Amino acid sequence: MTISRDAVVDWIKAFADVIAVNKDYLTELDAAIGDADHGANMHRGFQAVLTKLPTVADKDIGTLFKTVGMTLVSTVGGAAGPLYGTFFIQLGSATTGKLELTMADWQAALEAGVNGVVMRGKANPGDKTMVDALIPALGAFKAASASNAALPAALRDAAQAAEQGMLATTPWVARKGRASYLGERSAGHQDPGATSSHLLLKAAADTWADNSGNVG
Amino acid sequence: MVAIVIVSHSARLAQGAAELARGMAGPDVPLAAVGGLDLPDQPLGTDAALIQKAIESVYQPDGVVVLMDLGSAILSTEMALEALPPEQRERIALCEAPLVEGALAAAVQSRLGASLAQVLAEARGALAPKAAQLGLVPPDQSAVTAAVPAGPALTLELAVRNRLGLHARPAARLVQTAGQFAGADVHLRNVTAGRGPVSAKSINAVATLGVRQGQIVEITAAGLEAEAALAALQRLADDNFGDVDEPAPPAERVVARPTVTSGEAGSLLGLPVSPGIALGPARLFQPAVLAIPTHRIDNPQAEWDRLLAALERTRAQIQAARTAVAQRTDRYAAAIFDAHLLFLDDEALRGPARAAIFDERLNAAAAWQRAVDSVSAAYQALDDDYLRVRAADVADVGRQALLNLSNGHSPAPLTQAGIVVAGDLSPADMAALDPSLVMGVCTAYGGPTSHAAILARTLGVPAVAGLGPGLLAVAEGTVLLMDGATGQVWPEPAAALAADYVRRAEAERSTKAAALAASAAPAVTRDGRRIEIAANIGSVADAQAALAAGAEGVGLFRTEFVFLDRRAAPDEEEQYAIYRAAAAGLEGRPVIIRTLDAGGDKPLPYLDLGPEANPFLGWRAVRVCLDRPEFFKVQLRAIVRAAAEFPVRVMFPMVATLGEWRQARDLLAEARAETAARGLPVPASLETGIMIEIPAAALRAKQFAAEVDFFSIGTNDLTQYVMAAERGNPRVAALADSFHPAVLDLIGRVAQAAHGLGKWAGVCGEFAGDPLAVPLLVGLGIDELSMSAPAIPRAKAIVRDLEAGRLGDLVERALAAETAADVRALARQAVRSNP
Ligand SMILES: Nc1ncnc2c1ncn2[C@@H]1O[C@H](COP(=O)(O)OP(=O)(O)OP(=O)(O)O)[C@@H](O)[C@H]1O
Ligand SMILES: [Mg+2]
Repeated sequence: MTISRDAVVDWIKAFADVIAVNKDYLTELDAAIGDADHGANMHRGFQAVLTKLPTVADKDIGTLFKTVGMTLVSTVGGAAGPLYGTFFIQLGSATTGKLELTMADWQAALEAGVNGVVMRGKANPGDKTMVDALIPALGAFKAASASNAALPAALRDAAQAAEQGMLATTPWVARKGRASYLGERSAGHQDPGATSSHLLLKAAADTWADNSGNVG
Repeated sequence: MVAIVIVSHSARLAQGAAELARGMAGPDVPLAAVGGLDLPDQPLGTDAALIQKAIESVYQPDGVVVLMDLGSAILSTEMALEALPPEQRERIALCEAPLVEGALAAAVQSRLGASLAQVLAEARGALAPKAAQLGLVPPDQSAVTAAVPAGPALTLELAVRNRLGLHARPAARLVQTAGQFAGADVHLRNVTAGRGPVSAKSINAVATLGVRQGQIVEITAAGLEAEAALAALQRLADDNFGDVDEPAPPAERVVARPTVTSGEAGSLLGLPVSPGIALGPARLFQPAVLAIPTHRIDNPQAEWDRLLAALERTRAQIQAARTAVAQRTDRYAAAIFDAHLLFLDDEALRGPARAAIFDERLNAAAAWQRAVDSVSAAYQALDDDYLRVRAADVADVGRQALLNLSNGHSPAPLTQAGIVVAGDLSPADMAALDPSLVMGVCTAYGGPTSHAAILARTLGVPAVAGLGPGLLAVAEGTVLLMDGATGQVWPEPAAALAADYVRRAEAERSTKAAALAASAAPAVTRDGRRIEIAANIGSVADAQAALAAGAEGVGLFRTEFVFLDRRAAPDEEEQYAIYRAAAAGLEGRPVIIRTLDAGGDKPLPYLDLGPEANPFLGWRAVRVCLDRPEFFKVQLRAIVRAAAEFPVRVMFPMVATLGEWRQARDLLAEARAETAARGLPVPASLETGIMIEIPAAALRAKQFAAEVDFFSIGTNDLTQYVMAAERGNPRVAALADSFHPAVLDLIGRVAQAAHGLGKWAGVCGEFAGDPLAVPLLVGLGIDELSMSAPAIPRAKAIVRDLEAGRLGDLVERALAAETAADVRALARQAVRSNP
């Protein structure tokens, strides 16, 4: 079972739609412990990505991911810009020249992407950031593929782990990003970045799990 | 120059911060502002790609400092950095300093040519002055510079009264004084102009504040020595930053006029710099020839050592020039060289030179030249003509060091008398000219505010500057006629014109001499009693002012200025040079040097005087000196040496007992023996006296009179001690009135005691110069009145009107009076009835 280039494009588009739908929700979350722009930031970024996608429609997956990353860097504006930007650029580096991805390819790419976010933001697990969704997701994906699970199952495990991680952030005190300026007052709110990360992985599971022909 | 990049979520904030930084550091600093997203609705945020472009647009090999606000600004900047080539990346530093303060500090420091590390350090320290301003100690201060001990920050605000503001000489004094306190972090801010704060320990930083006359500056000090540093700076400010009121140069703020202006027929017209008429052959002054090689070197350490050695040689030369000038004029003119010495040490010059040698492997001469050029360009860029002239100072020092580095040819010394003709002269060139051969100085460039011009004025050499390059066409030996008062110079003047000018010069000389003679005429009462009228001085320059006012000598030379505001005690040579210079300036008139009168009110770090609850009744003056005999004898030997050449007398302050007097006298004898033992000349005799300030000494004047040569009554202190009231306390100040009969009574007894044993008694202190006091003091038998120079002409006139023989009645009634007010009334009548 592999992930085709078109499936990759579909995932990006699907996520852009998810963000559009959840824009206000994400902004609400960010209003509680940040500067009320995460939804708007992500939406602006992924709308820009949508307009860029046709220019790389005939390129390899690596180029596609890098283009997404570069676009986010210049259009998101908030911390999510360099963070998701780095995430996608790392995905791109890991998939250079590829026109489809095996499960192992995706695992390697995801690992590079998550490592990129950690490297960029220097957040530790428990700091109440997107890292708290991404790291469990990567772990779950790896565990699933180690136990020979199929790609859709592994993707679902990853999305569920991301959701768990996202929910876990609620009681924590933020130690990175804007929310850290709130200190104790950041506790009791779900982290917006972890939420968007969960949505990203959920979109992957949703897009790539249905056997619509893109995934074969 | 180190480039600065300001990154913010908001483009407007970044641009605003950049605008502030440019406003302070000038337009030359490479500076880029970047913020927001490059989208039609300009959302807040950061964009790594834009930041990368901004860095590339201002990138400098000297380095780049990036200041950013928070969150994604940091992440995006780090991302931008990763996209740059590694060799550039390592010259780019991300700085955590606060955006606005950090940008200002970094820009100013960069403009001074500082290294990347220095710019970073300056930016990081940018919060300290703000915290100090708010009365807080910045929490991270110890982390930033471990050398600065924590302590509350103190501030001092004062108006700068110097006519030309804080220019090089006062600025140099300020930096020197601040620099003596390693344990204090001292910053200076031009409150009026809103510039700064900058480190008060960097001459360049201070000068860039552009402090002008009338502006308010704020000095902030933090650290263990903060208090001492501020006290020293306050005293310096009280002393007008060591500036004397020079005669106003004819044209203020004129820098240079490099165009030939023709005056009347065949003459050149320049800027009058120093008055006086001279007629003599032109002596072309050849500036040293300098070739500066530029090449790569293999051993940067050896190259750096070579530069340091050249700087040390330069220091020795400047110090020699300083000493030469100090002997000829006064310490203020000599202080020009202090600024030069500070430039030699300034990190703004040394840092970039070091970086160029070690990082770029540039040879020392080229590295130094570049550093000098950039600092002098920084001055040139300032919107203040006076500071622009300082560019010449930096260039002078730079050139001198280069000469030492490249073994260039030194200018040929003047061997024949004449008028020196040059493109421009540095103070060092000026000092090196043999005064007996220089009839005048004409330069093509430069102006009346240049240091060479100031030197020419103090040396009394006629000088004209800014005559234009046409001057340099004059051939060696051409006869020149010059008028320093009008700025006119005639090459090969017509015989009649020359004769006319020579006559005018002669006439000027004789009127001046006559005027001086009149003011110098002794003060003799109508019935023939001569009263010596002398001056109180506190510096070498004062000696000249005293002379001009008609002083017959100096009755009190306060030596405290030699000792204050410094870390280490002045050595014998320095003291000798100062005492000698003062005495020499008096043209044969006597000077009474008072030994050090310091106490808890004037702390001297090297004496460890410590604060006292009541310094005026404490360990001070001769009491301190007798407890520190070796320290005291340094001063005594310097006085003995000056006394070998000039009519110098010496007196001891604050003597209460005969024992103290005898101890001091014996130490003086030792100092004299030690001086003689070194083969140095000593005076055949040295008149030695005491100040009468303590009532005990006044009451025992008879016993003292048997041993001392003279008394000088210090009426200020005597009055305070007699009345037990200090003049600094407004609630009791009225009591401390020297007109009180009790004070007069004591003065009279002291005079009688002195006369009884053939000694003389004088009065120094403000009372001596008070027109109402003069008849009383003369009536009480005082032989000498010593006062501040401006009071002299009036006092002389009053004495000349007195009938000494008829003052007995006044004195009797004054001593019988009840109050100071009654005495004043009597004195007023006496002055009136004595037309
Ligand atoms: N250093 C970091 N490491 C990992 N994630 C981070 C870091 N800083 C912030 N985040 C994530 O980014 C999310 C916020 O994204 P958003 O786009 O709103 O940025 P922001 O905080 O408003 O940006 P800015 O720093 O420009 O103010 C947070 O909820 C958090 O999950
Ligand atoms: Mg936000």
